Amino acid sequence: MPANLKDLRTRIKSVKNTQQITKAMKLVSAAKFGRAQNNVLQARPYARALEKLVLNLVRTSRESDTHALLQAKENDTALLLVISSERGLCGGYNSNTIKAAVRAVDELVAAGKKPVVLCVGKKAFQVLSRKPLPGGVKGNKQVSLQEFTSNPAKFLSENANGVVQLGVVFDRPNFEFAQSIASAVETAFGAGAVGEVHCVYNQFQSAMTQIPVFEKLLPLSSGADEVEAGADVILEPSWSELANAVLPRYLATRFYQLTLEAIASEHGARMTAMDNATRNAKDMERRLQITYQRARQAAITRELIEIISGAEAL
Amino acid sequence: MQTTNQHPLRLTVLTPTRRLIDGVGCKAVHFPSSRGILGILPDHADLVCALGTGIVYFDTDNTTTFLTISGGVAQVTGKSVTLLADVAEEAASIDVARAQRALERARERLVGKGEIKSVDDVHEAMSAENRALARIEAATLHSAGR
Repeated sequence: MPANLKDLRTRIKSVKNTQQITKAMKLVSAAKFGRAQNNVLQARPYARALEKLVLNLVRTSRESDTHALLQAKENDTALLLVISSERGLCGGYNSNTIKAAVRAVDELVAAGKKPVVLCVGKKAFQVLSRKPLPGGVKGNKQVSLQEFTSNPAKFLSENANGVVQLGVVFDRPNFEFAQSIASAVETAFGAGAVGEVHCVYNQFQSAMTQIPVFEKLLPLSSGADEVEAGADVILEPSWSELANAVLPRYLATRFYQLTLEAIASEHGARMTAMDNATRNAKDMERRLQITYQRARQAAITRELIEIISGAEAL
Repeated sequence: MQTTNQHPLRLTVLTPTRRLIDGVGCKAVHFPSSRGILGILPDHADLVCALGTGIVYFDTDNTTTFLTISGGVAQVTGKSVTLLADVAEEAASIDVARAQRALERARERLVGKGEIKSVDDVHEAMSAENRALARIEAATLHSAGR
């Protein structure tokens, strides 16, 4: 605690300024959060319904029915997509994502895979490119979306065991972006250049809670053990035509959903963090005010005593 | 659009960004599959099909509601119809003038005034024409209150 009055005054002023900034940031992210939350909630039913449909479709498949996205591939390369934010000041959001990403890399390495860590949003990349990761995974390359999508197979083989940042500004949901990633991943997976595709992102629960999750996106697992196979469903047109239409769409929706969840989580986390910061600043300001008033009062009392004892001495 | 009523067939229309219709009970649903219009009544056999471009209409107690959709998939069970459309629009919110302009643009492209470079461009123009036609028709049907 600074002791003299001038120091206290400066300190109070600076705390007030900080409070004003955090308050403004809170308001801004509250507005963005509202929109992002709405987006997620509107998009979830579609993603869920499509997932159910895809599972249904996979279950009704017969021996002859296969699709490139359903077959397991003989390849140890595993793509790990890490979705974080472009900006900080959002509490534990990014560090939780990073921790989950490190765990994911650990798991993949333990399973004998060669992970390619592809970061969307620069915050995770800034840490992951410097931090020693399990299995000697490292790198600090940046690729543009164009470089990735034009030849994903080459990109993946060049960057096995590497950390790469996707050079896009990731701050708003964008279906074209999700779609281009999905089609690149589909091409690579279809060509057998990648064996598995995983993702680390924050699942949006509420403004207070975001859960970092590690999910396997490809190969699609059917979860066939839950429901009896061979349900009698009319398919139109044929199974393979439907699969060709539905599976890429499903993948794109999946990626889109991930970005929506991540963005809503980010704004939620920032809003909560800034709310806390504003409250802390308020507390601190009050404590400083009390100290200041006490010090001021003490100084006045001291001066009075000096004057009085001076007068008495006369 | 959150009415619940007695009808056993529940219609849900979803797009990647919106939930247009959420479990509305109806007597019958008609929608365009990739191979023509399908009419679905309650207790229909399970069906999964690709969607085409066109008009969806469904009957509730005494009204018929129109929508346009384009692309996607549909899942039908005896009790529900779920349309997962790429694009969907309620007839009430269609801007007819805009659809008319889109139609004119598409036709101009088809007769060769615009830039046609490949077969894909022709397909693109044709589907744009179909989308515009579906929207105009849906809006007309809606305002006629069929």
